[in-house]
Amino acid sequence: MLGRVSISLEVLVYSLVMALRLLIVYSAFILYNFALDPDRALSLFAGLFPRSTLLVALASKSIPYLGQQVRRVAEIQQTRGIQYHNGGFLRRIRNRIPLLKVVFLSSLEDSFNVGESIQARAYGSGTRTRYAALSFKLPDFLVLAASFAAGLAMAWGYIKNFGSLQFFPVISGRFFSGEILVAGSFILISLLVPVAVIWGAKKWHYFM
Amino acid sequence: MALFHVENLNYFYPEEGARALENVSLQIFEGEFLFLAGPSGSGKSTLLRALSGLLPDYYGGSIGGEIRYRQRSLADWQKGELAREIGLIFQNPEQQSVMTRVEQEIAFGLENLGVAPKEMRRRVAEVLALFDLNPVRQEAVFNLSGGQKQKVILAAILAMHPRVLLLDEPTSQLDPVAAQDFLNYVQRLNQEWGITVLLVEQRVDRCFHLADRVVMMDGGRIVSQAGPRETVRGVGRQYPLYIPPVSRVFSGLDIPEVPLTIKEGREILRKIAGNPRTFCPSPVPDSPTAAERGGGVILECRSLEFAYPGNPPCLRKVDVTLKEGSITVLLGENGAGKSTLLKNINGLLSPRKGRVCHKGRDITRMKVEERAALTGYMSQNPDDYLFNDSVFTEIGYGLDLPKGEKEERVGRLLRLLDLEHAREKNPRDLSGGEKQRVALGVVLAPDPEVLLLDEPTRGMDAVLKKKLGALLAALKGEGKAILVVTHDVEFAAEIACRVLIMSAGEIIASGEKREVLSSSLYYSPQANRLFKGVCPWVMTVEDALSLLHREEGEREGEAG
Repeated sequence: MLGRVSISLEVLVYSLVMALRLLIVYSAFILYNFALDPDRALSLFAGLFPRSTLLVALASKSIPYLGQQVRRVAEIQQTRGIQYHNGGFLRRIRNRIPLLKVVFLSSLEDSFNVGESIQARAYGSGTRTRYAALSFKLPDFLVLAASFAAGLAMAWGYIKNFGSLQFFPVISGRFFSGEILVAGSFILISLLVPVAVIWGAKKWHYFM
Repeated sequence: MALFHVENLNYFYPEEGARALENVSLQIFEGEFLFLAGPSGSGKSTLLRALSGLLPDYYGGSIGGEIRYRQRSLADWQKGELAREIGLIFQNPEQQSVMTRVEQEIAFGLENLGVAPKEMRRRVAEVLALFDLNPVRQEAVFNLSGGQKQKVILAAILAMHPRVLLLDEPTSQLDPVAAQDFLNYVQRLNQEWGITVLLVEQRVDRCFHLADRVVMMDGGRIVSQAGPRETVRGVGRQYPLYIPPVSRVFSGLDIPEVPLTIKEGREILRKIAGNPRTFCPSPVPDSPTAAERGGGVILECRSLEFAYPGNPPCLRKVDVTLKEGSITVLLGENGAGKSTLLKNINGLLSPRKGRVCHKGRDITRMKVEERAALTGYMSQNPDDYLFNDSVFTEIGYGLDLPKGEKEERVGRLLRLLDLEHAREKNPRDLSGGEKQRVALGVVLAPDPEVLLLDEPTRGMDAVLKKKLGALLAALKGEGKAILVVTHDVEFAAEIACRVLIMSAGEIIASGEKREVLSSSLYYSPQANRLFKGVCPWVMTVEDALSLLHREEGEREGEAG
């Protein structure tokens, strides 16, 4: 029906590289979430932008609660005889609208109460202090320095056009040379420093 | 010197015609424990909010009269200063938490007050120790139990070193064990740290005797403010549901001192009961009639077994039989498997082994959506049912009936549920009790023969509970087979025909109400504990009153 589909090596490599890029973007977000504790982010920025920081903090805090609520309401809708899994696409979507309405209405009502509680706990009443005392120590310096070095090496490689790929019409680029190998190893080693620091911190408690 | 001076306080919520507070005058002294009692909507919560300075700033509306705190008008206090002095705790801990982790949640208020980091660390460490929260200090608040969440909020407020604690039904979302735990902490804070406490609570029997003064409110006004005993003597007859059940039992009798606790009550009972054999007539006056035992079997569960994936079994060989026109109550601690059992019956979960039969027909594999017409299920949170613009469309939603028939059925439900006045109102704007009745209407609309209710009395006051009990009795009269899951032993004693007790996934006791509850140590209602060893069939205050007044009648008869 489709006739002969021709897949060239170029297309294959191109799509693989694109998939890899997407994966890197995802990982960056996941790593960011792991690296920055939302509570710390709040205490860090609350002094600078109290309103927006609080908004972000409450939004991220509410996500697990929302998930719980969606599951609960979906169950109730089912016990009311509403079909979620049967019927056409449009029908299933239509059947889910009440679910969104319930969750939306309830979170609006909740937010009013949260606001009241925050006011009763003196948010925004004056200058804030911070509970989590963040100080700059040797491991922080090591991680920062190594990241900076890796960044420099990457910039240098970019200028020298290392590892740049042309996919079409035929794959071409500079992959293998002594310089690339050196730069690549340097970047790899630099990026391993933070991993080593974390490993060290787990092993020797007084390191941090 | 009084801490709070309230003079002629009046308050209107925005866009409301009626006054929420009417000429309220009150003095509160340092170190006092004040218990605010009275019906729902009588202005207790509004008064707490007014004292905390949230009225009218946060709510709008108009306020009249004056509140002075430490000789200064509340309006003259700075927000931060006031928050440092006065701590406010509400019903739902989830709506009061801001941060992700326990430790940070506790520090939040201190950060806002600008407490120095060193001092902050000390205070956080102290309250963590005081409330036994050290094991969970790094946990996410989300993952804690309801009781622990509320304890974290109390710890967070306490770390701010307030002089006054205002508590608005802080235990209404908790189970009885966690609630008692919480109230014990509040009592200690008052007794050992001298913190002034104002408490609004539905669990009258747990709080009344703790208070130095009871303030009874009704319709936005203070109708009485006196010590607990004086309150019982003064307005106990007028507000029988807002005094402890023990006091209610004895309040009509000619005794010098009305008791407040079971211990005091038993003392008095020993004196007036004399010989238990003559005091307590047997057999039980109203042993269940054939009709009360229920008619034919509507729903039957046989050897149900269930386990959540990767977890040990949480239902083990559970047998339940629900008969036409009967109310069965299922009691048990948290995590015993009560809600799981309900979900196995309504089809949200499907059992690993065993069968669920409806009138002899096996429905174990029937889909949850198809079971809606057979088994009505009401969950704990009525808000989860409400999304339409009027009560009428909400109850009629999804009913596949011709227009006339639909009108008729919904109309009949509105009458039954006493909601005719709210027919065109938005269900979200109704009071808590009304919302729950709308949710019940939604569940009743397809006319199911079986009704499954999960914790229907959570957060309800005594009057609403009475109303719900009467409603369930009416539904029983219509022939419904009703299964109620609850923690509320008093409610169970009022409404049940049969009682089941569940523990670790097993039904460990089942039988008629009096048989199961009177032989239980933990699940016995207050009136039953009072009459233990004297007259074991007494379950409710009404039972006790009928017994005592029969005695009195006899004595009077002898004297005459």
